[in-house]
Amino acid sequence: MKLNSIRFKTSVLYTSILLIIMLVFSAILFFEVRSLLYRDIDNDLKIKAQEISVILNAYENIAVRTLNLSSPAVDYLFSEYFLHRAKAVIDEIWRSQSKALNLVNDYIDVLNYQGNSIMLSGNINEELESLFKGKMMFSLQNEYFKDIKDDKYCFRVINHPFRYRNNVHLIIQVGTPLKNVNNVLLKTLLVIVITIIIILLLTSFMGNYLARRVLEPVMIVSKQADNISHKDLSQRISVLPADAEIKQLIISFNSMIGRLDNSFKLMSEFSSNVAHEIKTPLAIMKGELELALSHDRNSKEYKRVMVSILEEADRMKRIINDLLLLSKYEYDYSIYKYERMEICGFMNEIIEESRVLVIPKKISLAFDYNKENIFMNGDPMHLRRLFFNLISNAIKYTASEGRINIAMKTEGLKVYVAITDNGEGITEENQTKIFTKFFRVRRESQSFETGTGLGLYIAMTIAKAHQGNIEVKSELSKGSTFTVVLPLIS
Amino acid sequence: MKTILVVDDEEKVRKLYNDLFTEEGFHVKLASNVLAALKIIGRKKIDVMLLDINMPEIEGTVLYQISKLFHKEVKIIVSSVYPIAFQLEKIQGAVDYYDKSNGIDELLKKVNKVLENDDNTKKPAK
Repeated sequence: MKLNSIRFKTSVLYTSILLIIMLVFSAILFFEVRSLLYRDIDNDLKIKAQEISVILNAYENIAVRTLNLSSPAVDYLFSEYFLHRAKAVIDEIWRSQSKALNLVNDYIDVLNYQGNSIMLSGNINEELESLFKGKMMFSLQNEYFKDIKDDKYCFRVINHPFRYRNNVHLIIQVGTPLKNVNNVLLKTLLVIVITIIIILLLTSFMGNYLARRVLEPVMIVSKQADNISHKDLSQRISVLPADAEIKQLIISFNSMIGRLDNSFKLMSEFSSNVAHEIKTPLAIMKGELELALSHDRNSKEYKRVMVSILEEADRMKRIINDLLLLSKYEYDYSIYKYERMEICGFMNEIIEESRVLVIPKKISLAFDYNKENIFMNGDPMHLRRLFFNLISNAIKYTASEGRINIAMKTEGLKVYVAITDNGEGITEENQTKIFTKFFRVRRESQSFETGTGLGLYIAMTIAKAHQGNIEVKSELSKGSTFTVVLPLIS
Repeated sequence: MKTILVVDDEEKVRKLYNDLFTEEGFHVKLASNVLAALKIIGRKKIDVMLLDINMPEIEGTVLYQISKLFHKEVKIIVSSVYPIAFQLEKIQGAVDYYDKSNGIDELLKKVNKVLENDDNTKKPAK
């Protein structure tokens, strides 16, 4: 079991918590038991001390009646006498009452007001005497209890002050052995400890087993995940045997694989697109060069070939730029830097710059709009590209002396920019296809193919990145209208 | 004089092969799409067809299958910018395959070889 594994940590945590709980519980139990036992003993001692004081008083009363004391001198004499006699009394009590008072194992010590022992029960030997004297304090005011012990003995002693005749202060100390109590407590403690150990062992095994069962689905998921690599991202992890929390993990994991799969597909599609699109102009260049070199040619023919090569080189450059831009669009939308921009002024700029493009074909260019000061959140650089792509398409597919009209109108929180030409139009079938990558319409009439097939695809990507769209309406030989829809801000 | 039909949607490719094969003494016919090619095959006797796989709208594979069915005598060399392995996946059984990136010398060799074999098989057995 690894030291930093969940299983180990859970087991340790769980066992520790259980241990703490059981220790607390056992401690409470133990001390309750102890205090109950002690209370019993203390009560006993109290009763015994009181009995003794009662007996002493009774004896004294009898003595008073028989001797008829009255003067202080006699009092003094009597006290001395009494104290002398009291030892015999104590002994007698101990002997006669011991069974009744249950004093058999107990020790009695009576002290005077100075704390000197004046009477000891007969069963106190020297050792005990020194123990009592050494360890047991006395108090004339308070009744209190104390445990005293040495190597051999262990007692609980009550210190019970009492007065007789209102001026003689004595202290009765009764001690009872704690042997039995201690035995009971020890046994209890032993049982507690053994029980705790057994319970801990059991629960640690059980906890381990439970942890393993809970973590099993994680192991299964891990194993399945190990098998998924970029070579085959179509695999998914099976959801069925898992519990709710793991299920969620598996679902998230599977959807992540799906996204990765898509990304990989896009990337490999992109790579093969690049390869194919570049190879064609390369093949043409190579072929033309080889042909030109195969025989002696005149300079006019050489010039023609060189012009053709140059065209193909330009074409390759455009393709590569478009493809690079495309890959950025598909993978990284952070290149859009949105800012608040005014569209009317923006479009006016674009139209002005487009005038130079329409001159060669003598196409007329008009722009009208119904509102000024309209604002949107957009990236001007990319929006320029969008509109120039659409406008250059319009120019390409419109014959000489044709017309291109750009109309901008707002409706609610949207702006519609319609670019209309009277060119060759697009078949209905192609109207959906033109926005796809590398789609070029087959044209007999054109002198050479200049397009990359990416212009409209890029335009659409930009529109979508601005939460907009491009719609097309067209009729063959009549013309086309491309309408760009973009959201405004108030 | 042998007749070669070049089927390719790229105008520059058609022009290049036209110049090439004309210089080599062939009669050259050009088609930019499958339909135009079919018209030509139907009308004229074609010895070799140089067929581009990747064409918009109707793929070259369609023309290949129709030719095999109705104009068996036309020898078809499949051409593409894709490598030969890829071309084989698309069309099996053509008389030869040409990768356009390999230059015109290889193309000439292939065309001549195809015609040579054809002549040999046509010679009456002794």
